[in-house]
Amino acid sequence: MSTRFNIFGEVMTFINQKKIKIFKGENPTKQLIDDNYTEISGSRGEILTSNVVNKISYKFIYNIQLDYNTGNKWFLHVKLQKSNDNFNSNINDVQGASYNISSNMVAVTDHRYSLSTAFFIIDGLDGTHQLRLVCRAYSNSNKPQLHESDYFDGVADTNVFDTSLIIREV
Amino acid sequence: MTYLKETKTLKNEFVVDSSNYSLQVISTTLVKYNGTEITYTPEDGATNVVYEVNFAISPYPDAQGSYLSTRVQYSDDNGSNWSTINETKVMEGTYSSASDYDWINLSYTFILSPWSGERKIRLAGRSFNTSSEFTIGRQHYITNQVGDPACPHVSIFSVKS
Repeated sequence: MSTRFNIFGEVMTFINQKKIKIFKGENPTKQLIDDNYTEISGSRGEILTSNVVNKISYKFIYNIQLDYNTGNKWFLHVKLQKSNDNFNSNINDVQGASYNISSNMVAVTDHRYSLSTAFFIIDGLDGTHQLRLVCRAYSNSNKPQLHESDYFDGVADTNVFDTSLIIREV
Repeated sequence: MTYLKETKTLKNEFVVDSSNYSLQVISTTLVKYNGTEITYTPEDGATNVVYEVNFAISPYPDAQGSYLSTRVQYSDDNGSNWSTINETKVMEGTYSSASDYDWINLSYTFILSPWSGERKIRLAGRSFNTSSEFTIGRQHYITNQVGDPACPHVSIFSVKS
């Protein structure tokens, strides 16, 4: 980073690198999500922020599918967590970075399959931090599976969808 | 005053063709999704290529819902032959035994391995069956007033680490 002054005497700060971290989760194992918070495979990433740019965008794309073994609908709560020790003991929810996503909760035959894009802007990170998504089902009657599809092109056909994680300074 | 002097996202390219786009009804035959194709050569030394697409579907011509089987395809011979990237295959949508008319906005981000030279990239797909067909780009503004076709929006860029 270099610092200059313009003709008005203001400090002009140049950031030499706008960091972007790309993580592709290759061939993730199917996760069955129950009513305990569980880390979503492929959602964990680390970024070192500079002193002056401490806004981070976090974008994670993953696949949510109906688990036919447990029911006809699903209901998830998803939240972003941060840590400075790779989630060993320092684990904190990121305030405001969470959402619900569900299938139709009334019609019993309304099966939903969906990609989900988690996108958050995070303030106040300075230094090295790890970020991850965790999720849980509303109840054990509403459990989805992640990453794996059981149907495709009109037939029963198992396919695994690679996750995509992009963390960048903004 | 803070400036971002340098970025590690390189060779950004975008596709949006609102004037020439027309509605596309998708049934059980595998077809390209119109408006999602882009021709791209990655930056030298790129470690990844990020391909992003956004579009919306309506449940028409049937009303019970929509099931998409979508995948990324590429062509290294200017579109004569297309290959599917298997790990991008995804089943999406919702279906009901009752008519529930789901309208869905779809947003995709794919992290692709880089390649050498020029390549065409696109999305292709089909419906699961004839009861779960869908239409890309159809809009309704008010009761039964069909709006202008809404085209897909596409971006692609290289990443260098």
